[in-house]
Amino acid sequence: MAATDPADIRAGIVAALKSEFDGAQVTGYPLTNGRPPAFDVDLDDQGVNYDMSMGRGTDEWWFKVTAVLATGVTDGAQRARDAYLVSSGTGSVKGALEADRTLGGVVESLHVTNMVPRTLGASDTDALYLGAEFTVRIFANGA
Amino acid sequence: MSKTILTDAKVTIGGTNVSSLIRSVDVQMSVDDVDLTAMGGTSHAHGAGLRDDRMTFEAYQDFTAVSGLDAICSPLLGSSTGATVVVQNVSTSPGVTYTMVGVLFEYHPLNGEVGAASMTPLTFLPAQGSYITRATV
Repeated sequence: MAATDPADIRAGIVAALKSEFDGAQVTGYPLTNGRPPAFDVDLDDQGVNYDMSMGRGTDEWWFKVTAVLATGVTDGAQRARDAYLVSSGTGSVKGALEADRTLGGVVESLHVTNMVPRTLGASDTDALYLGAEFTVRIFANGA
Repeated sequence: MSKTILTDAKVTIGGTNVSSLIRSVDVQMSVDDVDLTAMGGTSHAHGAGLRDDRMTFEAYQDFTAVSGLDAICSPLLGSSTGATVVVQNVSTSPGVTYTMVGVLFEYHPLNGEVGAASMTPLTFLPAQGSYITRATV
């Protein structure tokens, strides 16, 4: 097997999210011009732990998936975010990502470990958005 | 002379290369220390007794049918014949191999907490009459 390409991991995450959140903007890289509801994918601060087993057998990757929702005068965005946080079922981010823990055979194992709420600001306006940042731990082939 | 960072040890069990599942390896070669001290001696006399070797691994568990680690190791629990276990310091030549026919006297197919990688500790003891032999490749 070839070493796992992070672009393939991103593509797998994007495909999993698109299959669950039809109509949302989903990108495998940090959003530059988001239109909520939207998701983006970036490396987590924990990065990559190489050589988790012998012979370049396993690398541990940490990604973060951020959901972005527009705020409003009502609590609609907060309710929508709450739906993302449910651990399984329709509308669950964790459920969508863990539906196929191999991302179509790209990785060996995937686990959504936690979520932290975020308030996000647009870089070009003063707009604020509701966010939810999911941490994704992945074991993938290293060689 | 050169120093080595251990990342590429090769481990085969019964001919199957399981290196990509191995997180740590310990090849222990030892002999019993037999006390041969007698009267009149001024210090202990040590004699080399019987070999008492073992190979210890920390491995990611794999339940793949037939070829997975669990399928390979389960039959070795209490086996009288065991399986040939080979550890090589690197996966390429030149290298040094340590070989024995090993059996398992305990096996922990599931061993971990929620959210952790599924790991299994493996300690191979020599089948009767076997011990670790060293060779170069």
